[in-house]
Amino acid sequence: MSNPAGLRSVRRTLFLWLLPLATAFMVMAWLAHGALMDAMLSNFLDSRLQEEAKYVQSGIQKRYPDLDSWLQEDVFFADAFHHIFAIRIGERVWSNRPELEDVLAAGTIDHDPQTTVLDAGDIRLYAVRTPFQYEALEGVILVAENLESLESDQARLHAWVAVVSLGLLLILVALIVMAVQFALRPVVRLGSELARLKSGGIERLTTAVPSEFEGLVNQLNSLLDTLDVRLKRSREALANLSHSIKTPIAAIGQVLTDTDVEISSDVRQQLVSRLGTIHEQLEAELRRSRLAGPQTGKTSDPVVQARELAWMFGRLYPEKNFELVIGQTISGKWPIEEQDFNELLGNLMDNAGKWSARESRVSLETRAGQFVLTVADDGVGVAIDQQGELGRRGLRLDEQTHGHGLGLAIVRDVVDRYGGSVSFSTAPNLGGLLVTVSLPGCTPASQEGAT
Amino acid sequence: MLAASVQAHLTRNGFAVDHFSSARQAEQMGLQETYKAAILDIGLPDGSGLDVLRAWRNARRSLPVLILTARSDWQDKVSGLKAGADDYLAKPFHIEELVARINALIRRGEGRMDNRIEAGGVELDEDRQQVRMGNGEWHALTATEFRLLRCLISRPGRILSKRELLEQLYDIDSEASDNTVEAYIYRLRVLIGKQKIKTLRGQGYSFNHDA
Repeated sequence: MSNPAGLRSVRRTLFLWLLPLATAFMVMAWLAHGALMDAMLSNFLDSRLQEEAKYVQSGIQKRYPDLDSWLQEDVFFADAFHHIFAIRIGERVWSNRPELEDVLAAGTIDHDPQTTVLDAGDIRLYAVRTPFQYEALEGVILVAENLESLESDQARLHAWVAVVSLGLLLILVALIVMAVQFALRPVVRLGSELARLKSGGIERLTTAVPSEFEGLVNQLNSLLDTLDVRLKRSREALANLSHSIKTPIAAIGQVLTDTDVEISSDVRQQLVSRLGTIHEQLEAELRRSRLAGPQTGKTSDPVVQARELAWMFGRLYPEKNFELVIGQTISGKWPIEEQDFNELLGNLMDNAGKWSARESRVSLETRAGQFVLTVADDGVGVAIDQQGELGRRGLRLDEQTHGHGLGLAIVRDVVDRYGGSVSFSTAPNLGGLLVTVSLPGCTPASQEGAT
Repeated sequence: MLAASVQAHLTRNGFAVDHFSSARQAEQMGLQETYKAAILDIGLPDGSGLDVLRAWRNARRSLPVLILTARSDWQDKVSGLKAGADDYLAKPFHIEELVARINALIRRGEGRMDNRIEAGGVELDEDRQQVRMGNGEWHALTATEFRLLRCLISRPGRILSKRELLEQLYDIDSEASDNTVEAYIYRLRVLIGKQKIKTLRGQGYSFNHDA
């Protein structure tokens, strides 16, 4: 099966959307993590460096002016204090890292902005500067941390997060693939069922499918039912037809080819009647095979079609009146195929036209979900005990008007196919025959086979 | 074979018969000559008999026409009559029936004229009980619809009471009431347009030939 361009498979569409989206989300999460880590670190660092600046300041207050010996004596500086710091009071600068004194001295000249990055050749320092005032003393305390080692720590952490994200992404992709495969399993199963259906392994599709496919599968199955019924019916029809017309054809052929038989008027009459039988059989089967039966999406507009038929019979029987009564509750479209509707109403009106004295009346209405059609005439009617026999094949109540029986047989055929009902009674006002046809609101396709 | 037999039979019954076996010839002769009636086969070798019929009707030829068709579905008959036929006969037919139908058609056709009433852009074909708007498609009318519309359209602008219109309804219906008239007016309005028939409260209806 080839797809038209632009209509991709569901699986491909899902993958095309879900996989790039999942990747993008993971990358975004990783980037956000980096940004958050940066912000948190600089906050944390600032407050720690400021704490230490306070410690240094309290030391200055205790030990000034003998800061050199304090820096050497204090155990804290030796053991725990691993930051670099510098103190500037006036022109003098003290620091715990003499090798960086130049850079630090330059860094303490100003204290605005509070944090800065100092470049000391091979290393860079992240420094927090705090101005202080103690009695007459005024100065700046600078506490700094080696940015290089800090950054490499952070980069390592970020790289680890990237590895973890990638792992998570792989798991997510695997989950998506699994979910898509799982969700599409019914489609795959349906595909293989269709293949088996094609090869004849099964006759119908399984109906245990997800709700999304229920309609599709049911439709397909009912289509298969319809096809089966139709095939069966057309075979039967052809068999019947050949059975019923080959004998008269053989008989006629024999009479015509046998030069010994003289074609008397008696024989001629027989030939004509045999031909008449052939025509009737052919006509009956043609009409029957023309019926469409209930089909999804096939509807007819009863008012338009009934008006045209009423008009046509009015033309054909100019001395008779054909009236159309439209019920107030009628709905626009009826679920019956157009030609089938014409066949139904046409035959009923044809009979009414033949039998009526002057007046025939068609009514259309929707009653309790049923589509009801009646045809009444003011003819002599049919006795009540014979009404049930109308339209039964092979039985003609009255031979006076040719074809009465065939028309009603077709009507019965149409009604049966649509799972409707037909009843006969005496028309209350007109006095002739009243035919009432009811068609169900929606015809399940299974009723197609009800004949 | 069929045409020869029909021709022989009709001649025996006192008709003078011309026979043409192509749509082109038939169309031309139908327009040129004045025939009493025509028998037209739908399936002609060089075209559809219905097209010939339409050409005749478009030229306002009103001769009675009987069409012969091999198809027996109702839609085929409806389209034949809508194209302008007066009767149809499905093949195979009894030649006696054909003769009887032709006689009936000629009787019916005596003194028949192409009668059309036109008012306010609505054209009513009295003979064929059809209506059309402007030069649009013909719409079939049922007998009662036709009588009501003829009543309204032949007196444009005049007010017709419900009682007057009720008389146009078929008298066999004892239940016919003012409501029935209203229902039919509604049906006509659906066909020819709402503004064509004015309602005058308490007085009745009138055909609006200005709208």
